[in-house]
Amino acid sequence: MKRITIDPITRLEGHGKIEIFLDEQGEVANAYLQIPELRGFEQFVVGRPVEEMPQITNRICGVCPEAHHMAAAKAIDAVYGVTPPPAARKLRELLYSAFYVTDHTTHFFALGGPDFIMGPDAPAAERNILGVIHKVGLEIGKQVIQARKYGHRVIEIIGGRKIHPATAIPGGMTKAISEAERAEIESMGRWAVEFAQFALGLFDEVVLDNPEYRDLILSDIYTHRTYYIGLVDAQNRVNFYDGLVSVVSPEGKRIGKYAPEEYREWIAERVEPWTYLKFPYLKKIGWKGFVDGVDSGVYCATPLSRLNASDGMATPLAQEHYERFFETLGGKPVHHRLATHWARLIELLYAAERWVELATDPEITSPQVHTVPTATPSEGVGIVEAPRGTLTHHYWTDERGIVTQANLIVGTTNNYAPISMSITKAARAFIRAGEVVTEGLLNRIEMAFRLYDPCMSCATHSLPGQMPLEVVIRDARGETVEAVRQFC
Amino acid sequence: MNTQTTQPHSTLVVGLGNPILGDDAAGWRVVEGLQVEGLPQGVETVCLAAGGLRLMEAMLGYAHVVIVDAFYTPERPEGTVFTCPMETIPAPDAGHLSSSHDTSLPHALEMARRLGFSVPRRIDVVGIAARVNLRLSDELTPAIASAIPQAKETVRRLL
Repeated sequence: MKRITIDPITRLEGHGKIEIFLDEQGEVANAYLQIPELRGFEQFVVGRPVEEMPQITNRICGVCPEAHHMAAAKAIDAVYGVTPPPAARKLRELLYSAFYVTDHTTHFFALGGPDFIMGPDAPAAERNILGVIHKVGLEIGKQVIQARKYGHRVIEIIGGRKIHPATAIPGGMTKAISEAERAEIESMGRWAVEFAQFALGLFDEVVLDNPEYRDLILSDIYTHRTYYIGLVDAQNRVNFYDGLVSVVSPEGKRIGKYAPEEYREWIAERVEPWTYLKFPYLKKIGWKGFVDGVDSGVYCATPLSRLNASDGMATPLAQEHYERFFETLGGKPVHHRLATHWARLIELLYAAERWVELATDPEITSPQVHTVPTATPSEGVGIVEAPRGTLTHHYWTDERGIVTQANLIVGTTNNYAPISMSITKAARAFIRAGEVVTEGLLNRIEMAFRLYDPCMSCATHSLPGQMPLEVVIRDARGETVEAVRQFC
Repeated sequence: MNTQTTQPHSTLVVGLGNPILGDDAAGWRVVEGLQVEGLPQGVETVCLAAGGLRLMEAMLGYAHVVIVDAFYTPERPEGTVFTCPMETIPAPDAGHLSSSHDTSLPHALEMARRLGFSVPRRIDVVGIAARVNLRLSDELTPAIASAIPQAKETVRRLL
């Protein structure tokens, strides 16, 4: 067959860009991550029946379709003013817990973990999952695939399909699960609990027992004293599926909790002239620029944020790790962004434990999984925690349930300002008086945005399945000093 | 997912892309068309909006996989249908700044090989040259829509 060289960008959604701006002295003034955003969402959905939203929105993103599916289902429950039966609510949360296990596992072993397991200064060609299985052993690769396989299986049983679940509808779910299915789900969940403990053990061994890495986590390079948000249950414990959004200050004080329908009283979006991205911030605190501190409304919504914004975890093993996390890192809140990787693994354990809890709940096989909506539809907001941040769906409909307006704040969007701040700090360490140390810069910038697990719109569903990025460094006049491009 | 058992005579055709992102849905439209028209025995189909590990997992256990996807290739006119072996697709995570959430398909396949999974012996890619698009839509542009029959024929020739 004739060999044809293909332009490396094989996807149709554009590519991400990091812009670094220097001042007159050649020092880093600011740096921003620009992520291509899909356009025309509102135009696409206006005029469609609101019931279609869980199916449409789960196509927006190839990374977290389950999160969009759940946020949409909850928003539609609210649009119709209907409460799903307990079994339906639990089935949704069970599916969502299994999804979290697959998503957090993938992030740690394919993306975040290699920075530590291979080392932050290891050649980029080795800092990937192939490097990890080479160094740690083939067994780790098999376990990762097993964790993903079980997660997909639960999603298939409850959601009807392995990805892009289809079963959440206004008022509940389209189908219940059988006892045989429940038993299978329970057995996979018990394996997932063991796997999550193994992952935390590996983190201990590789990261926490290494003084160099501990210093790196505790260093100033990725430390920002921002506000944090995250969904919590009635006891202020982390919950991915339901509850109120807890907001805590950089000093660790809870300044309030908001219900989904109150999100506009809490979150506003800053528009900057140089990008189409909007930067969410806390309305009550106000926008003070890309800075941290109690006076700046910049907030963060990540696994680290969820731990900071809560009072604990709702499952016993995860709670032990939660306590150890804050003891080790000097109390709440933890502002060291690299600790997000550890927080993610604690959430992985919580998700696995919750998976077993729900799979053994006496109500989980109840055939009562749907409440028929009877109210006239109008408006509703649904919030879940996507793995990469708080996800808000807001729909308005006419009296027939036809969408007239829609608004989404997706997980990664919450973190645009903090990601930019982390990249700025990383860049400052490697650009002095206009001199650029390219190799170190790239490694540290990569670590800066990786820890947030940003979702680059729909980057992952096309060949070769990754998001190319370019780094552009501009001087005080806006002229390009250097452009570092890889696969762009 | 079948990680261990080989089905040496089986073939999978994967339609890849986002079905609500305009021309990015081209791979889905090709596979949906083939499903309606019918395919030889032993040929299975799937439409996916996933890459990296997820795509690799879907391919395990098949001897031959054909992936149909819309590609941004500025050197080719829109609607050009082309084929290439999987080996010519670059592995961008061998470099810097390339990750969003997953590993690349070439790396995912290499991982599966090292783990001893049943990786397809042959993977063909059928590309449809398209322009960059960020706007949600469930319609193809005329240039891409008119390329679908040729793409379907190209897939059939590879089976």
